[in-house]
Amino acid sequence: MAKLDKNLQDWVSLGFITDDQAEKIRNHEEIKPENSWVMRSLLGLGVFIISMGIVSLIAANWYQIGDNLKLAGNFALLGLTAFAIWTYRAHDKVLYLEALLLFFMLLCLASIGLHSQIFHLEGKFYQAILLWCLITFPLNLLSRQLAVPFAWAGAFLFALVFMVFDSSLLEGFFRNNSYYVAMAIPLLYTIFTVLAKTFFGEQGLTRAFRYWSVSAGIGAIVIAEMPKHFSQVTDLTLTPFIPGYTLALLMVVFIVRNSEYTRLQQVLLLSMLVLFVMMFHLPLIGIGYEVVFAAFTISILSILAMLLASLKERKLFQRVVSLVALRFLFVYFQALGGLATTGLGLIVSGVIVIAAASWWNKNRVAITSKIEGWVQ
Amino acid sequence: MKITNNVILFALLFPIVVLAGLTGYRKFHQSSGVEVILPISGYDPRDLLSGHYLIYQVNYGVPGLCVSTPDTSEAFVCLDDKSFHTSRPTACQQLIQGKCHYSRFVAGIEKFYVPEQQAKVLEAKVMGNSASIKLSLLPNGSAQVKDLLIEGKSWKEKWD
Repeated sequence: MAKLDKNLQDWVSLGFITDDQAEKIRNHEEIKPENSWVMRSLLGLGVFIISMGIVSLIAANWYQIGDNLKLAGNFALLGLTAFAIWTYRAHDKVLYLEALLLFFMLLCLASIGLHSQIFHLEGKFYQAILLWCLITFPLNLLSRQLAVPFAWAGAFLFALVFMVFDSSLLEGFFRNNSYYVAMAIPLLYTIFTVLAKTFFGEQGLTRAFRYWSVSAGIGAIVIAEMPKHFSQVTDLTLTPFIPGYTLALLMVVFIVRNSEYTRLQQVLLLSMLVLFVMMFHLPLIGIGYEVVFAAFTISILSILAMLLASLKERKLFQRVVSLVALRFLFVYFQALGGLATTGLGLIVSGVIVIAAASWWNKNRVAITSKIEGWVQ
Repeated sequence: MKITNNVILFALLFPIVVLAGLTGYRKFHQSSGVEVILPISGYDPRDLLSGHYLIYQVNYGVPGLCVSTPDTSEAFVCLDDKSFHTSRPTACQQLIQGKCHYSRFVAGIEKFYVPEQQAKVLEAKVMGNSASIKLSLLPNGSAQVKDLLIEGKSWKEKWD
């Protein structure tokens, strides 16, 4: 509240609002449900610690307690938590409902662990996560905040990646090469984002899928740029790219048919998609120069920034612009090579970073507005 | 999407029902299958423990098991006549379905969870070749571990 008080004082002194309005805002903020990031973090931490405690109790595998009793205790705990969520479903305290949902989901994961332990089942960790994702998917619909869908979509991404590398069928198809997988996974997640938006609207799960699609996309670009692939030019073939091509075509259909996007936004999305797919094919046509890969990365991120600006996603726009600046800095390091590691190189780099950050901080609002104007 | 009470109930009951179903299936498997006991030994004589479970290989008493069979193919062991098959045998009362992996027959029964405190002692017992596992076999070849036996008795009895 200290920050709000300071802002209110500023706004009153600048004549934006009156003392009465400031008082009304202060009263409103004081009585509304607690929703600060500190409260969210503490609740999340508490839930995580309790869940880890339960997992540890299960992992201890107390042989004095019979298997049936363990299972009965597990189902009783699941039932009680589900009942608590049911009771809290219409409550004003949204954060408590969110904490209960998260706890219930972690309890489901612990239950899968207990099940494996009691029946001595074999299985990989990612398989347990996949089962967990399947059974807890509907819980995402009950969430009114982002923590639950973010955790779920992140875990699902983790399990998918591991499944691709472990499954005998997919492993053979992708040839255990992260390069092929890196192209397909962000596209798959983008399709999930579109599907989530179609079926559930713009809610937590859609936003979580969007966040993880962009994160996976950035991760994919990093993998595409990894120098080890430059020496694998002769090893790459087109067949393992087929899942990626299929997903890219599906995305083209979604982009072209989506009436929510303006013509310019569609062009930006399609350009980004084409550049993203092309980037993974550079080694196939014998291009291995770091500067070409850097140009692709910067172009993709710049188009993404423009798209975000046109969607009025100011915070995301500014973050992506920071990534573009970061990539430019790496270009500087790559261009200077050994010199950049010398004392002089590091001093110059530091000065550039500080100057760029100061300039950006001073002009970011103006730049954001200007680019928003261009891309309307 | 409108979240009705029915949707909330479904979302809360679905994981519980699935987990209960899985537990019910495993209990059914344990109680209705044919019981067999097979000796076990360690893969690596120095270290059988991996976390909170013992990893071992099952001695089926079948010569040439998976020796010339490619990986990931479906494979079967018939305990009636101690024979190995790459396709499902027609008349076998005690059948175990698995696959060949790196020239080893694996059937998902090569792991046994043990309590932290007893782990080291049990590891020594298994290494001393006095251990076996009790399995429950369904007619379709599905096998499930029921117990770890040390010198013919449940490890829990030996411990108490």
